[in-house]
Amino acid sequence: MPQYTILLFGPAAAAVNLNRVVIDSAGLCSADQLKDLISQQFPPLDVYLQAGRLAVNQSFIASDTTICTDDEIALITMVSGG
Amino acid sequence: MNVHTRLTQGPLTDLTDSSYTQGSGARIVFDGVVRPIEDGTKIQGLDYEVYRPMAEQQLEVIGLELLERHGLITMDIEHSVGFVPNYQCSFRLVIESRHRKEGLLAMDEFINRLKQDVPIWKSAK
Repeated sequence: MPQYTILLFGPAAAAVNLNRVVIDSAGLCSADQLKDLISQQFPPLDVYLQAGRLAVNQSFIASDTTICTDDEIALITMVSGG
Repeated sequence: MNVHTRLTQGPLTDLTDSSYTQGSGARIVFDGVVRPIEDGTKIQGLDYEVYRPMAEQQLEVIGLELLERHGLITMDIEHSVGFVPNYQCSFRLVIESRHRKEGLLAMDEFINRLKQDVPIWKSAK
């Protein structure tokens, strides 16, 4: 069974008190599908997924892009630099 | 390359470079300073968490895009990581351009993009 590791930062990390979560999947996922799985397996992250984007290998990706399990995946919630 | 980016631990120090690049007709400096009140509450400062590899890449990508589109001469971008006390500088953008107009436009656009696309999160302490 494929597993995805998602890096968390800021308020999303604080919401689950983790800096990464591991998601079980039945197969390879698109970004949108992976967000749905994250929400199902870690419900406190749902609010951050609504406005958040996934980054893969340090770049934002389209919602229908297929993600590999060995990609570096990060949940980028609303940022606040400056 | 005419875009330089740095992520620096703690507050940023004063700008000391007073030399101008050849062809420059304007240098615009923006210093972002930590305010002592955040959302109506008194704070000691802000703590910045950074997804470093992506933040470095995004700062450079945005900088290069604006440099080319606005025909700028140089762009120097520096952001703090970690704790920055009140009244200290946490972000600095220095733009050199031939004329003020394109520099000012790029300045505003860069800051908007920073607050949208660069993975840096602040939390009040």
